[in-house]
Amino acid sequence: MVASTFIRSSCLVLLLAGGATSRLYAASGAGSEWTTPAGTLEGTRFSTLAQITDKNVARLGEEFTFSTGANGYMEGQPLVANDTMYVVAPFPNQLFALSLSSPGQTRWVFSPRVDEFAFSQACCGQANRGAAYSTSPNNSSNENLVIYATLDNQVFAVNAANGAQVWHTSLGSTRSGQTMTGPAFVVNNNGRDIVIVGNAGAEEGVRGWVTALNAGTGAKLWQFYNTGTDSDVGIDSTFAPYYAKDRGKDLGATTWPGTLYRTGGAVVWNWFTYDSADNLLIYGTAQPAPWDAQMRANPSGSSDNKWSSTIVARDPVTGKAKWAYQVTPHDNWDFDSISESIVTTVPGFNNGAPILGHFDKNGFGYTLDAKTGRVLVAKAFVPVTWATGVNLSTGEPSVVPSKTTAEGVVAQNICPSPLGGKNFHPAAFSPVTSLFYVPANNLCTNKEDLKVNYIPGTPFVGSHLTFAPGPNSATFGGGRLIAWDPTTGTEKWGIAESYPYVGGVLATQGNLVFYGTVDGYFKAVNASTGQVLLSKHYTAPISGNVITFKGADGNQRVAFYTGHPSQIVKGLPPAPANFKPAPGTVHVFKLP
Amino acid sequence: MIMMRTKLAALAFVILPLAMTARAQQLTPAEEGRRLYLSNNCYSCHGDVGAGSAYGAPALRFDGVEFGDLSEAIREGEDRGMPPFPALNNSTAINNLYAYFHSMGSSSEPVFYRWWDALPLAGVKPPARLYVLATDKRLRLTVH
Repeated sequence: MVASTFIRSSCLVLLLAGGATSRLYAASGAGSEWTTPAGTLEGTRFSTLAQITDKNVARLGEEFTFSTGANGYMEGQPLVANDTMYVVAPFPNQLFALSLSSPGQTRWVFSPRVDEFAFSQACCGQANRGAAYSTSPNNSSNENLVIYATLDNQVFAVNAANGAQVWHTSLGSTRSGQTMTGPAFVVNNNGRDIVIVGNAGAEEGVRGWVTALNAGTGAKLWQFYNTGTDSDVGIDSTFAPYYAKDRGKDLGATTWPGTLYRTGGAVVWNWFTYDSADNLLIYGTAQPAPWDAQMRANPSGSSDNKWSSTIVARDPVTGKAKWAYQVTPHDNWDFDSISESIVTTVPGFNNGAPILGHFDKNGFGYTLDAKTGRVLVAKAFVPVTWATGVNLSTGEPSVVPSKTTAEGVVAQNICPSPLGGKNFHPAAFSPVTSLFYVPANNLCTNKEDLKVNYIPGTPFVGSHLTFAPGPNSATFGGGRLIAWDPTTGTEKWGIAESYPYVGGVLATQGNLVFYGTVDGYFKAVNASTGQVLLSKHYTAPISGNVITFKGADGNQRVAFYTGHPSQIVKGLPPAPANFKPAPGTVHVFKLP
Repeated sequence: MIMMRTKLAALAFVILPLAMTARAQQLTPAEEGRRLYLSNNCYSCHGDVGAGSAYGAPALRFDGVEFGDLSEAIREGEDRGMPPFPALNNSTAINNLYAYFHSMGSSSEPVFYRWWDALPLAGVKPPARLYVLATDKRLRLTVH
């Protein structure tokens, strides 16, 4: 049981809102350092730094760049601690430590020994979504650690000062099809850090799990699956899902045909968040395996295929599940629920209790009560054709029958596509505006399910897809940066972008929102109005997530990655002239 | 002689439909190769029609496939993420896959997806190849 848990690298602050109305409210924001993937454990990607504001951001200039030399999808973000920037490169996942006092100079490089076989086991690019920083590992020498997972299922802890390996733990074989592309996540329990990781490979029929390791030694503290019996999943008498549809014994097994849940996907390859008020570790699970929904139909009862496409809340110390909300039961459309569930409060809403903002691949923006998983608001944030809405009483989506899929039959015009209304790129929340900022995609698909054989180490998918731009793409955009009111489920403003996969967003106290695009634009916009205040164009895609921090001179910086493009699919506008993928590179900006 | 030719012609008239029926139950090597390509999940890594995918596996459609390389890859796998395929490690499967890869881009490239059907319909262009059993060379027909 956690007696006291403090929030790493973030602080509860009382802020005065800008604009005509002054309000007092609590929020979580990063400060001079960035020591967890989202800046805060709540996942807000909000910074209290305000040297850079909507008044001066247009003067930002590039201070330095650093190339990792590795081609691959740069889907993560750097860490910053103790005057050092830490960058995890794409596979083979070198870790670079860069000096901020001598900007861009390399302090050290850690090169893990990795299994090359992992390279083509990852369905969707050899991505790495970032490291986490541990200052209380409680190991023998008690040094600060940078901890991250490599594609080939290893977790490494590296001495943050000198790059020496402190420990590494192997969490599986690539021969099964399993990889690890997600971020490490560190929470503190009574002065000792715990590192949380998840696995990837639902497209390979990998069975999803979440694992907690002792940050000081790498020893496994707990591991639970996301499919199977209650014992497998870590469900006991304290498990209290809000909705009746999510209650019952062994649903992680009984909602599947036979033992298909053992190759059932529901992996965890994206962001974790932490609700300190309720002591809950929150994450979403991937889609069920295989994509062929007909193979997952259960002749004996429910075909929900739990706990795939589900938001799960666990006790971070014991791993026991406290609640779960299955967002898309019996998923037909590859709607992972791996989007982050950002923890925050909004004054006057939900009686001031913490809420979660979750923007699902299925195209609906959810506002949930963090303690119980009850859905308070669920509205489409992109064009949606597979369902007409979400019933707030039952928690069930209202599925459109013509959009369900079947073997050998082409289900047409399914929106959003399997790339999601939003994918791995994270949203941000600003307590200045009480808005979420969501990087959205506008694509649709025709999907034909195919029978598929399970062959270990090969894709267990069973699908033929074609993509097309979503409705009204000329005005809505192929991608879009959406400012979203979680209390009403409405867009306050939006910026249409040419391409999907708008990058991960940063919001700051300076009334700014930063993001990048696949066609190479780095933008800063007014968080209240959406006015574009800065637009820098690169000839390489921006596919990572923007962060901010203070440099050695005490001045604020902003940093992001350019690199190999994330999945760009056919049916989109052609790439602009001079657009060329390049090795993953960090760009750091500051005011003159 | 004319009567013989008539009889032979009549015989061909009977045999041709039978041959067509028999032939229609068989796929070509390339078509069987397509079936293997789908049923063994090759398409997920190498692309629906061999044009590559986000897995980073070679785009066989453009890269070309040497018979020896294909045999070795099936037998031993590849270092960067392809497992061996013992179920395909036989001459029939390898020959069929080879035929499929070398049909890519041609008018005879099979493009069906319902690999589990006894006779996948899409991509099987009528008429199927006809082989007429006859002793008279004038009646030995091969239709492509």
